[in-house]
Amino acid sequence: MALFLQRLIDGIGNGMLYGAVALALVLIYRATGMVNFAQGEMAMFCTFITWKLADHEFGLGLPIVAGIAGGVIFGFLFGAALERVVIRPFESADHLRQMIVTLGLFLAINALAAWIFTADTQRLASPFPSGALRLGGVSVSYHQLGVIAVLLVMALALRELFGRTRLGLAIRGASMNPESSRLLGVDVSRMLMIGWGLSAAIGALAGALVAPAVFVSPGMMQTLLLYGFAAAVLGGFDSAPGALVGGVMVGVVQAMVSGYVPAVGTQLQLATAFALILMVLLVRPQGLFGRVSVERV
Amino acid sequence: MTPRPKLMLAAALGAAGLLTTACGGSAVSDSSNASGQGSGLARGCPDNGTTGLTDTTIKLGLSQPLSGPYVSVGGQLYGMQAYFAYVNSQGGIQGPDGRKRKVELVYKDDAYTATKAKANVDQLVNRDKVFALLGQFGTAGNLAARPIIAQQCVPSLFATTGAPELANPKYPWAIAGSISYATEGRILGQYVRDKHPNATVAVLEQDDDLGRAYLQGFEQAIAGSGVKVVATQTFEAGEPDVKNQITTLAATKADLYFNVASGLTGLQALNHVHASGWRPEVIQVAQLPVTLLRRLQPGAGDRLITGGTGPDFANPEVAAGNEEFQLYMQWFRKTPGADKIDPLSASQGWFQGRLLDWTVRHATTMDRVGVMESARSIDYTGPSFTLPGIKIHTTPDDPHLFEGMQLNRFDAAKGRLVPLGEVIDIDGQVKYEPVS
Repeated sequence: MALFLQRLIDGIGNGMLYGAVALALVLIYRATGMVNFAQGEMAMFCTFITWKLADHEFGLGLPIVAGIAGGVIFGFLFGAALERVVIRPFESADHLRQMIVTLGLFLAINALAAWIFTADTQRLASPFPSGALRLGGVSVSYHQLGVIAVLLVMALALRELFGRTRLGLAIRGASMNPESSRLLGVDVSRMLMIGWGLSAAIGALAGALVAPAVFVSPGMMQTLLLYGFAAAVLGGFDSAPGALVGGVMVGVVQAMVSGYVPAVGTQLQLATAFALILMVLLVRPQGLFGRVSVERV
Repeated sequence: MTPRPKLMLAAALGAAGLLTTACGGSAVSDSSNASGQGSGLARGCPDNGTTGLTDTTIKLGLSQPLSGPYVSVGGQLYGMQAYFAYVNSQGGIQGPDGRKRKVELVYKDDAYTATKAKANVDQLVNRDKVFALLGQFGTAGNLAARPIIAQQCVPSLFATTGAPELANPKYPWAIAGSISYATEGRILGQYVRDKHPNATVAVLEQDDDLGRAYLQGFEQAIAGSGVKVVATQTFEAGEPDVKNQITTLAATKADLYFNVASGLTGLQALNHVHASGWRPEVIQVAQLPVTLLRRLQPGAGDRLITGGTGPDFANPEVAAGNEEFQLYMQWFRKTPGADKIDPLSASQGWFQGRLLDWTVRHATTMDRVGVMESARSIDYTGPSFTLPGIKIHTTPDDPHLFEGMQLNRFDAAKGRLVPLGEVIDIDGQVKYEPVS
């Protein structure tokens, strides 16, 4: 029983990390209507900034919370700048071409990070106390608890932002119907820029939360991005809480299958995630929390 | 467009022809029965093997990662360049013909992908016309390029891999420069058998030839003793996290944990073991250098045992007391681009250069056959980064360069390795065995 609970908790813990990446993907999708393949690499780059600010040996040695704040602020500016310089020339292009541009960004940012910082593995401290809460035979680290709390708050805040605030509505409007939004006086380009900035800022936070587990390196987000996509599709690509729930489901299914179905073992962990996606897409194409897209003809 | 049967047939025949040539290339295997000097090494070779040599130069090549996610493991190139700058400043490497030749090193980037490594080796051998390869990088890349080496009879010296397959007698033209993973597994197994004769062991294993070679050696060493492997979990190289596997292993509460994981995954696994509350003694494969072990979370590096073949140069006192290391650092610092490279990992390249120098000097004839025979009869006692007590020794029947290790305890507080007992050297006991 303790082992089962431990697996459940592992699954939720890992799943929250996938959810964090999914959250950034969902945000940029809602804000700009595009899928950003460079999302993971942008988060990785910001995490290196956090590391540079906080590391005692190679960086400035600031407190880790200050480092994360710096990384998040940098993330916002970095995302906005990328939109302005790299994405804007393709603003009127179709989504396919925009996606190819983000693939190019993926490669460029990865190489840039290795060149500017290091290709070595670096350690980032956790903002939460070390150690774990032990209940019976089950242990939950304070880091896991902290990550869960931060991400829940963030998902709810995003839902409020998009559902209740003028800025959120303007961002959504700009992505869903740029023409009408412009007629209503919304500065569409500006909204897209803010959308990219916010999404990169969330990516920076996700990176800083993931890093104590996966360490900081140019490759840190690559597999996570895959799981993040799985989580986002599962939760519905346009729902922030859905992204987290999707992440947790992927994490839990993985933990259970690798623990209890020896035939599948650990080699096919990724495959189990995709089996789950296929099932959901067949039964509920819009994802668990997504809205069916309706078009006026 | 209509298909053109004749053209297709011609293409198919052409491809088949290529295949036969490729297979024929690997058939240098006759020498597996013969041994000793003047063995069948030269049989089936295209020429006398002086390609890449002039009276004043010797051209060497290698393919290794210089870009991509594994760029950090490719530091050896800078160490090699440092050595060759040093030896060229003294006129070059002296051959058995009495001539000194300056080294020209041609290097290519394969981003650690086997197909690219093979294409690079093809170019190095057939277009750049190198005399030999030095420090050819990575297990998969070496195996992919092996048919080319065998067909053209090009020495591939001190390849940077510990794959036991490099000792396969059917392919005598390559020789590994790192301790075999199976040998290391065996030494670790011997330690466990002697120190914890009735221990239970839980294993995390990278699911490829590297992981299997370690485990094979380990299991051979503990066979017949009271040591029992109670659980094995595997992971794919590149998996983002191994927490699920560690939870399963921690549930066994085994006395020992054998961490057959390198780099990032290795660190993660150790952190997870610590966080789970399980406190086994950790047996760590040497793929996790001390510079990385220092990045473990507090507590996760306690009770950790790991082997090594060299002194702990991460300790400034040890580095300062070693003449060869000082000479190396002096030349390494002058090497362009070295400022971004970890000097410890690059030092391997210096030693590869040093050993190549010795091998050429001690060849009987200044050609590929002579140099390869020399590499298969090494008895080196010159300056090295190897601990005293570990022999640097090969014979035509035993091409393993090192078969010894010093086991160490990791002192997490100081971030240093503390030697544990004497050097264990099993020179001559390791036979080639395919990894199953």
